[in-house]
Amino acid sequence: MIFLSDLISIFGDEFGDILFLVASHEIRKFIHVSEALRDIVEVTEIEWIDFQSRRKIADQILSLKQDGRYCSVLIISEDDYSHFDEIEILNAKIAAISFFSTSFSLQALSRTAEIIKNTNYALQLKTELALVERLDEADVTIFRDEDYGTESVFQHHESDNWFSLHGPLSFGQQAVLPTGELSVLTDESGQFSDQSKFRLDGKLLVKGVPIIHRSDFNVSLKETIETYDKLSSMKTESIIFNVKDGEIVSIADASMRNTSLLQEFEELLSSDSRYCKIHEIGFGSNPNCADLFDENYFPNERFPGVHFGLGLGSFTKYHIDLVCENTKVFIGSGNSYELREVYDTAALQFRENSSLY
Amino acid sequence: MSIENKNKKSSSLSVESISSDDSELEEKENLSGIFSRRSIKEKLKRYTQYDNLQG
Repeated sequence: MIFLSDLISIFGDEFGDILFLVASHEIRKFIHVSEALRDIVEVTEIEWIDFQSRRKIADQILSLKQDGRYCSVLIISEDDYSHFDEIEILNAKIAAISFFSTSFSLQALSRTAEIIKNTNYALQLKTELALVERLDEADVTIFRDEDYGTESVFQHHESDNWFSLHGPLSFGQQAVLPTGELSVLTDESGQFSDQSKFRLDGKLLVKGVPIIHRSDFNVSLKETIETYDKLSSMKTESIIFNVKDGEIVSIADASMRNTSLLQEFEELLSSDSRYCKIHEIGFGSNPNCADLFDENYFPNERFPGVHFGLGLGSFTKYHIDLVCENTKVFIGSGNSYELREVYDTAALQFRENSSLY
Repeated sequence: MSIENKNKKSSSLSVESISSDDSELEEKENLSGIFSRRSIKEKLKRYTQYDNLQG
């Protein structure tokens, strides 16, 4: 059983007048609402049936707004989470846990609940701000895999689209849980252009876990999982992306064997040339996601390290995040690139040690 | 679409509120020619991950 009270620290200490729990029938069976919580805030439930349930939530928020009242809303469903327009939620905080691409299981929900329960939002913000400050001071970011000797250089100041996903929420804000990521995109959020590219050059070692997000209901969960299965051998196998001007121009088997992983990535990149563009660089900042789950599991994206995103829903069939488990992130300054590792990926502690490149 | 909350309470701890505090200072520094690049802090926006994934 999962306690609702363990899932709602994202709302801080102010829920407003009502806390809405919105869950599908299947998921609701596993959520326990304690009397102690009901003593603190009025809990009202809405069953998530399908996409139309979103309208019901918006109507409830509007109705409260007309009375000058506020609310918090937690949505847990097997459907995708479609964000609300800013104007719709001025008096609401909304958090969502979605199993749209990753399929629902009690195990996955329990694991996610544990991550959320243990998330320290003050630490998350502190970590993220420290990372931003280091990036601001530095001239370049360098992604390096020391085992394979690969390196790529990212001129991060050339990118304008930086985004933060942290808690706790204020009224008017919404987030997908768990939080903990600083990311940079080639385009405005929700946009995808073939022309916009990162100033990223060199070799990226791809080894870790993939996360496959399906674009919409036209892409079945079954084929999403099949795509995940095809790429999941990157947990043990590794390939190299040769990147020029932010685009994958060739790939190679890092272990110099003709693995199936190489073939799967070749098929993916040739299926739609838009996957060749590195669309996202994400810096996870949730230490509770350090132990990667061996499934197509959304919270893996918050792994305290770097992931690279290909494609974008509504444009490509999938958005694919590649968490590169062993890639170290350095920042460099000056002509000789004095390097500093921005975080220890295991403990998420910033290091001050420097070395000359 | 990014979620740029302009209705935050002043007591809330956020990247946006901190970055806005620094923007004036950085603007002065830019004018004085110390820095020519726009800081990431200034560019940073809050967003929902959904936007990133699904468009």
